[in-house]
Amino acid sequence: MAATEHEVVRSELRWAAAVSVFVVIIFGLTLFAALALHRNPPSNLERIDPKTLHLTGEFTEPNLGTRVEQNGQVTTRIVATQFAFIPPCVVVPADREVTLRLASPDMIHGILVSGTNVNTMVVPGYVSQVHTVFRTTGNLLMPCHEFCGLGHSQMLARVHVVPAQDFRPDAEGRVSCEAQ
Amino acid sequence: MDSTHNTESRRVDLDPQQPLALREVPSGAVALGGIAVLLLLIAWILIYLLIYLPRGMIG
Repeated sequence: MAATEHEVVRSELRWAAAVSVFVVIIFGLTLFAALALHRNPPSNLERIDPKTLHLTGEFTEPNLGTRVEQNGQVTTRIVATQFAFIPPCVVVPADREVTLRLASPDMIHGILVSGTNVNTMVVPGYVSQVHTVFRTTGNLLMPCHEFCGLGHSQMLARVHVVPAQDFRPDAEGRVSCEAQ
Repeated sequence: MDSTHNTESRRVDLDPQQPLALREVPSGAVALGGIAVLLLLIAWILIYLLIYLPRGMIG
């Protein structure tokens, strides 16, 4: 009985040590992913006027969809609006870095691309941007994952990932689902 | 005053009606808590290794 209090303290310290080891392991793996594998939450602070994004600038209708920029960078621009993505289907190449840029003119939306780590909110007034590399080809679903109104469940787009040799931009660098 | 007397008197001062089972280190609770936390850690690592890492880079 004499050692009871001592034993309690000792077991508390052991428990604290074990939990500390777990925290260090999880923190270490998170740091490893962030620093060595360059996996970070999408963060892009870029303002855009939601009232005029469809009239001027990069989110006008002719600019939407996938385009290969002058420097070879593949950029996909999508407008998320109640209750659709414009365009509803985008083509991206496999095994090549793709930049997804999204904006909303009305209210908060969100996207994820099934089977990938792509996941971001689309907030009016800001441009959401995600860099990623799609490793598997095929059709991936891209639903809105932020409740945005009665038609939220119908808000769905398709990401068509094609092999690099089938990714053929036109003269202006655009690639669309219809042309594939 | 030795430590034995000190520990004994403090315990009695705190709660003379304390059940005997609670005066000992609750090894069953430690085991249960340990298993629960270990299962959580294993689940976290499995999701990290089998789902998060294969899904590719983002940034």
